[in-house]
Amino acid sequence: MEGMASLTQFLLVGLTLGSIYALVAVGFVLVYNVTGVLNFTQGEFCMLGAMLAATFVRLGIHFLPASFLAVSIVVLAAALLERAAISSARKATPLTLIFITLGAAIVIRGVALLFFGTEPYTLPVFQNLRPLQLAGASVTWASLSALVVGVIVVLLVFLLLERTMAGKALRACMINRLAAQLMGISPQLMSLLAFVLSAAVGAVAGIIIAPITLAVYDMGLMLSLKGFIAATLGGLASAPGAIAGGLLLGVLEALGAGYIGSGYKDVAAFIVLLIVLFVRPDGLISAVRGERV
Amino acid sequence: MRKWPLLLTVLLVLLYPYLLQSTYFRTIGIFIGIRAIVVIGLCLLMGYAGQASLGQAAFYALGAYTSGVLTVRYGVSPWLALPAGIILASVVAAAVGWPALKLRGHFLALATLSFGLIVYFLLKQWSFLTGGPSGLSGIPALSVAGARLRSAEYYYLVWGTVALVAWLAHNIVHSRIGRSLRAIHDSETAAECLGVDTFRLKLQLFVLSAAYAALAGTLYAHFVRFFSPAAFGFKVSIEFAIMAALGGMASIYGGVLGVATVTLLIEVLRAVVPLALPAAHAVAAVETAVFGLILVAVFIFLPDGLAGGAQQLRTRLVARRAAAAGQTKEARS
Amino acid sequence: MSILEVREVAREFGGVLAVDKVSFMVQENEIVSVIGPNGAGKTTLFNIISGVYAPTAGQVLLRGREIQGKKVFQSAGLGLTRTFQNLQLFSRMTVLENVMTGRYMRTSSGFLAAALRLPQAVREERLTREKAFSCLEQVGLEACAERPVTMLSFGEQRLVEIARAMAMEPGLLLLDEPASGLNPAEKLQLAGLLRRLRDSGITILLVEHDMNTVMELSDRVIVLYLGRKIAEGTPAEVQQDEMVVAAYLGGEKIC
Repeated sequence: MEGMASLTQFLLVGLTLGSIYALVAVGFVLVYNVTGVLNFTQGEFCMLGAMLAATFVRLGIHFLPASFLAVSIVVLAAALLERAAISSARKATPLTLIFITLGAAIVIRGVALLFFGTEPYTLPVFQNLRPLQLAGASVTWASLSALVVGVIVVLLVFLLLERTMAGKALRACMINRLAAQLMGISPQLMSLLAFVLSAAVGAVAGIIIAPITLAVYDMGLMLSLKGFIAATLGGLASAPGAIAGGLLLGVLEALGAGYIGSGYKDVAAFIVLLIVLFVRPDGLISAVRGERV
Repeated sequence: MRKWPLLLTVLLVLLYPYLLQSTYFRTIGIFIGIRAIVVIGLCLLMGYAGQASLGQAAFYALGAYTSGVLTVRYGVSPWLALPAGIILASVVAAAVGWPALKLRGHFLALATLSFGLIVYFLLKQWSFLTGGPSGLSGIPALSVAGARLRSAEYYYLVWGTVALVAWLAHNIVHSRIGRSLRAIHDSETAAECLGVDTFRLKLQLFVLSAAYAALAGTLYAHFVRFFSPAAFGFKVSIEFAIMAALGGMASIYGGVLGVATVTLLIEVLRAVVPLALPAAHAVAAVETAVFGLILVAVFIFLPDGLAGGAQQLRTRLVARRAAAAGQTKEARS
Repeated sequence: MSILEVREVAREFGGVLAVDKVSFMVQENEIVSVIGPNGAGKTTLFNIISGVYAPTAGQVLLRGREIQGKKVFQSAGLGLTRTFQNLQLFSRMTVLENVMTGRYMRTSSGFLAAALRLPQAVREERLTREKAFSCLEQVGLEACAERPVTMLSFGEQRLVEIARAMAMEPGLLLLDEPASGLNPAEKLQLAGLLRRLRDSGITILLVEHDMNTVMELSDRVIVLYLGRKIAEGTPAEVQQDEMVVAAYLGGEKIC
């Protein structure tokens, strides 16, 4: 059936996009719950991951070590950012924190523009492979790998949070910072850990989206916003919520682009955000009161 | 407001077109004035009520486009189109602010940011009305009694408006309303206990800042007489916020100072950067990076902006002089 | 009609009954204290009366009008205001400006009148300043009027908060542990002030731990224990009450 094939196509595209949004959203939720900071630089971590990986591949390094190197650099940058800008301002008003992370994001974007220029970079990993045919829809290898890597990263994050001491400490901090502190967990260390983890996840998200949509210096803003929207959809309180939100947003976007028109794709996400913030305050009690639950 | 800085500023503003005779500098002077109107509104909103708005460019655009569309497509006189733009922006601001101001902190910022992006998108999409991405052209100039305003006269019109807007803002700040706004910023809980309907006040202020931005937008429209949605994107909203923050958010004076400083900085960068970095995108890159740094630095080190910093300096000097005078008196006696 | 009536008020938090069917009345020109060991529900009850949260059952009536569930500023409009244990002063204002904010409900010029400096606004501003200054005189802090409020000592700041509430000319003033953090001399001064306020026509309801202040000052005392009212009466009566004594054994002693 023609209609079913298109629907499957849109759903697959949606899930691919969604897995990337989910990763960005997880990064947001981690940092927000541990530090109370809504980190506008999250999307820039994705951009840096993508751009650095693309640059290294261009220089002749093989894809996997290039990615590893890119993620490491992004993680380092995030750690520096956290130490330099965030930890000194953590007690400030929400207004201040917004502008500090926003400012940091803008700096990163400017530096990226300086070094990488305005042209899009490709990450040619799956160039010579023809798309697969699944359930009447065609799936590119890039999309498939994005989905698979996304799932793997999410599982790794879960394992980290559930099975390791550091992860458990992080979760404790997310749930109740004061209690965690009384148990001997250092909030400063947890803040750093949250930033570093979210940067790693973000960088990977950037690397897996690059083969699909190309990497460009200003892709960070949209990713930050969509990641935030996904996180809000999921309630901003937990990683599973963020993932659900990300997948939902991706599918909504794909369906919207497919059935209404691709021009409205980006704006659909923002309309969704406004609707969620305005109309469903009960589902997002923490959002409305501006507190972390 | 203190006497001599105000007098100095007024003098500077009045004489500026005669000190710098070129059209280029006059244009910059007009742009500083137009943006100052937006930023004064933003200073009130962010500095006194503590509400973050990352979408002021949308109201600026509403003012500009309403005036532009009414005059170009429907032949309305610019002087009538001007208040129409302000009214439309105010209505939209009330509609958006009503749900948005129930949100706190981050979420308000994001709601205003999303609103700004939606408006930007619609300006590009609804080309039947707005001319789409290629923009709106042929906007008539303003004329008084049949004579078109030349750029020198437009300069004084704009800065006259700045003076009016600043005076109104100053009066609001030094009034019962201004005090309640500052109260809301310091302790919303206590303000409510004293009978302040905090939501309503925040909403009114939000609408006022939108009206200011729209007014500036109409002045912009009839000066440049052609623009496209690109002039009203997210970057512009951030620029306004940076100007407000750098100048000093809790200061009307700081609004003008911030705009002037940032505009000057942009001109300096445009002149200097190509000498060191010849790449085509280098200026934009350095500009972006510098703006980001200013934002971070101001919020970490100088939360009251340049105006606040100057205030602190003066207080310290006065205190030091008083202490020295006290010591000399003691030494003598 | 009593100025305040609390009728069968109850409040539940996730299965825990913090306040359990509490009822009492407060008459005009009284000073009534609510006491009880920690966890008795005093703060919750206070927050319900002042409008911070709504009760899960029962009503709160201010001069016969139901105010439970109303927004805080609405109750303020009906003549009820409160102070805070940990102070909620406006830290970026001077002492006088803080007290002037208390006049908000007694003045009415809005954005337009303020922006255009209409005569009404100018006049109101002058009257506000005068009235606020006189409130400062009544608490003895007129010399500090132009100082940033954060420069004052804790005891002085507490007085500023009370002066701010006085400026509102409320019918009912709720005080949240006003004696906390004060030294004995300051407590005496506070008691004198509160008595003067009562005599000038303001009704006072306070939550307090300091037993000396409570017994000295109050016309009536209400005792809460585990969310329930267990006694009500004059200080003397309450001190004799067996249940009250039992509730406090192992905790604070009354006299």
